[in-house]
Amino acid sequence: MSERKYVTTVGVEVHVELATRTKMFCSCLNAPQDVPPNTAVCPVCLGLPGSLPVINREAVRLGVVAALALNCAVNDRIWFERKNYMYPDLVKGYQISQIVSPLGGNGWLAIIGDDGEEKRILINRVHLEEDTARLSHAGDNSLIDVNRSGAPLMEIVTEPVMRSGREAEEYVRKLRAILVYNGVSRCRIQRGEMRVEANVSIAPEGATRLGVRTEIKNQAGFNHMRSAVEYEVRRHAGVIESGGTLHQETRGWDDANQRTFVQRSKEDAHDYRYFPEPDLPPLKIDPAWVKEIGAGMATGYEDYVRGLLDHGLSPADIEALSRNDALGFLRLAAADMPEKTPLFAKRLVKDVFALANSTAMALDESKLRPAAFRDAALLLENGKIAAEGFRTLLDLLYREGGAAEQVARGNQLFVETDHGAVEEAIRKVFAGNAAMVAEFKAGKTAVRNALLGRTMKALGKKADPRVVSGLLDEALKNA
Amino acid sequence: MPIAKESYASLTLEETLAGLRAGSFTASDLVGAALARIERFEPAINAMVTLDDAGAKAAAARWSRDAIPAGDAPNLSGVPVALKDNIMTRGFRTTCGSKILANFVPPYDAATVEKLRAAGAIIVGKANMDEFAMGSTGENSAFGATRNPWNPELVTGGSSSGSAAVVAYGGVPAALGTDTGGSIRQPAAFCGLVGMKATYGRVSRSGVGALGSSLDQVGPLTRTVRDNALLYDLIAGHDPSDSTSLEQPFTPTLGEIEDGVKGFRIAYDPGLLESEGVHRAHADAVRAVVAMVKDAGAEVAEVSLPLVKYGVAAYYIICACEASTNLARFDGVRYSVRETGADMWDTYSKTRGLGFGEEVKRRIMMGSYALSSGYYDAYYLKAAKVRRLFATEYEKLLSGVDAVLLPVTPAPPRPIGQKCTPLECYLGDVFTLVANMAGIPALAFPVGAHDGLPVGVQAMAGYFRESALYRLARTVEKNVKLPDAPWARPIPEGGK
Repeated sequence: MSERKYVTTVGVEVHVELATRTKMFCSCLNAPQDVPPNTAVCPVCLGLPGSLPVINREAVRLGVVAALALNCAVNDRIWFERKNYMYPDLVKGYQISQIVSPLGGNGWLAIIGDDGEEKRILINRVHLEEDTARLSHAGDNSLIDVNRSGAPLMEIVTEPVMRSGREAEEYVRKLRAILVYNGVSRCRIQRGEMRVEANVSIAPEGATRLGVRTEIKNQAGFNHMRSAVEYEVRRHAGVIESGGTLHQETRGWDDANQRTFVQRSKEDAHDYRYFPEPDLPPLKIDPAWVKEIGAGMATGYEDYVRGLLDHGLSPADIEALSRNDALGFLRLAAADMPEKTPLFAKRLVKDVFALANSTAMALDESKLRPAAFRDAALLLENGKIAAEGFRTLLDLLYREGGAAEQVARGNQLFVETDHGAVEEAIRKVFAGNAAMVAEFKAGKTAVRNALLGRTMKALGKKADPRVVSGLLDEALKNA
Repeated sequence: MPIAKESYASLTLEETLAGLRAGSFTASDLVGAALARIERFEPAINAMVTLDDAGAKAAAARWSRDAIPAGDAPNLSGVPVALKDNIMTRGFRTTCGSKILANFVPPYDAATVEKLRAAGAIIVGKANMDEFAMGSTGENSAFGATRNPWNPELVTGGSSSGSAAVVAYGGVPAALGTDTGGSIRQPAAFCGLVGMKATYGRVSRSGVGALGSSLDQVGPLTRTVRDNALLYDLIAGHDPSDSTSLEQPFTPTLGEIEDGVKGFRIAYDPGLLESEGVHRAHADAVRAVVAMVKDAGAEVAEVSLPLVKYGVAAYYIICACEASTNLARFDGVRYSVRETGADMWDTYSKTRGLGFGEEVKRRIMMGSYALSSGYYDAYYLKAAKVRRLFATEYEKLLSGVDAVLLPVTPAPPRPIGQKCTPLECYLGDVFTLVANMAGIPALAFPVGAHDGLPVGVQAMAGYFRESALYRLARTVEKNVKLPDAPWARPIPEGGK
């Protein structure tokens, strides 16, 4: 096989679940996997007769944020269509989606192309829709969890402009980083919050028409997608060169055997009978609102990363922040005090990522919120809590959530600023360790550290070593 | 003069309210009389799918005389009403007239039901209907045909067949129906009642089993025009849970209802009345109303109603397309009746094959076909363009006149069981579906009787001009007598 004779063309469709509080068309909690199955449901997302959808403004806002972050034009009048097909995970027998008038389109995202130059991956469309329920299969039975039904979903479709599996992988990694950074979606792959499909075709060099394409569905990870695309490129070339015929079809990726397999041929493709959703009148997207959203958006992802270097962060720290999906978190934490960015970055890299390791729970799975993290870091910085208290506080916020001050107070983590209380503790330690005090007086100054340790212990996490140390020395002098 | 107890239920809504307020009878008396009358008429008429005897009696017991708000403010405290069975009632079976929902108990009330309950209404039960509101005779119900109280050999019209019949035989003073192409107005006309199809978006559709979502409206069926306005005022208005509900401010219509038609410009289409298939009594009824409004000081204009001949074709495409997807949810998976098959697809087809009636299946097939790839442009898209024309043409016409008069149906009700082809049936909607296609309000009201049957007339107005329709109908009502109406008849002998 001589792949060089062919030009590879790849287009990518990505679905992401939007990070809204409630669902796309009802006020049920959008937290499909955080509550017991079938508890975040109502007549609307169950598709009961007579129930009607109402568009979630926050989902539209996040869609606009995504569109702007991807350099798309936002349409000022959009509408939804019904996409009709029957399956047990689709409660109404149709999905409310968009076909004719997507929220945005004509955008781009820059990657480093195979030739080492910057390359713009053109975005054809960004549209909004609703997710389906989740099916799981147990023996002869299938179980339906309707929690995910109606969750807000965004589809981002590129033009067929990528030339390799590597470019496709780079595109989806960059796309994910941008969406996470902008708070559009948490994009947790393992939770299905980001799902990727690639369309692959090859054509002889110089050909004016694209070859027959295959669509590869739902790869579990970005490297799987790249492997699947590369496999398809080899398979297509093999079929062409052996005189065979390629069929337009949908294929899945078998990672164990490193190959794709047929899922659905074109003949079995659905006729979705799209038509305008009569329950939702067209939606006007006020350009002034779009402008306002744009103005409120953070610095672009790439500018932000460059800015971090200017703040003196090391490339290694930036890489760690990026790997842990913490850039958006950092930006939010430092939103009101950008000058503190290096401090927060240091705490994230040093303390928070350590927690991620020790708890085996990634930052975006944790209960830690940017504002709580910021406040905790400031409490340490301002000496309101000590290092040990900070670690305890962070651990609590990470596992259980809450506001920093409140949790610190509830767990008595504030350092004792009342000298009287410290002096009282020292008096008690002296009283209980009269022999040691006598030894100190006799010139055996090494027992001072033992006395300090006992006082610290008596005070617990409230103890600020600097304060205790100073007061202890004074007390010893006067003893 | 004391009212005979068995006649309580035959009182108008306003008389009922006055009687309750005056203490002439209690809500329990009223509900007892209503249930007694319903029980006696039901074997012959079959207006009700499910009665809520216990619930209605319990609700009535809560409306002592002291509990009824004093004053004239319209409310329904202690008043029994019936609901078409596609209007969801929390904890109470709602079948949409279909076998597939024979055991469906909704966990929520429709927005209109919430309003009725808040106003104090007592829901005595759910009224029969053509399955999923598909039909214009009342015969397409999984629970049997409803018969016309004026003459049980005839159909009531549909699809709000039971809502019309139970009001016509005096079971309750008022009922709610739904109207997608005439389903309130046509049975209202066949049963001698007043029926309103309001401006699209005026009354919330939330909690109403959908037929054609872009055409459906809930509306009242009553024996008098004032009763109709009273009930309409209570259910109309913006509802944020229905995105097609309009935010336009709402002014109650009852306050203006006696203002007459002096200075109104009222139009009709003389050519239409001469056209083939229009029964003479129906044409004469329109002419009679023209004369009455002229006498009452209105100016009369002759117009040519646009687009009427395109209506049936376009309407039945749009309605079937929307219905085909609205009914896709009835798959036997989460609720509704399930017929287990060999595999998933077999379960789908068995459930739907056995659960849906013939007319429903026909429309699902028509709608699926018209939406499918390669046919969409020729059918759905073209029909949608025709609908747009209806809206613009009728808006233009109605900007120059206060109301347009036309027959409700071309022909009087047919005998029960007399077969007609689907197309013949669909053609019966030719005059009513105009208002649904254009989104405008239309009111059917009785103007007299012919051969022992009531004859109605329809008036349409511009967007949000329901009030003009009520003023017109109220003016006409003063000249109208309906001899031997079923609601005035005594309870039939025999039976149970």
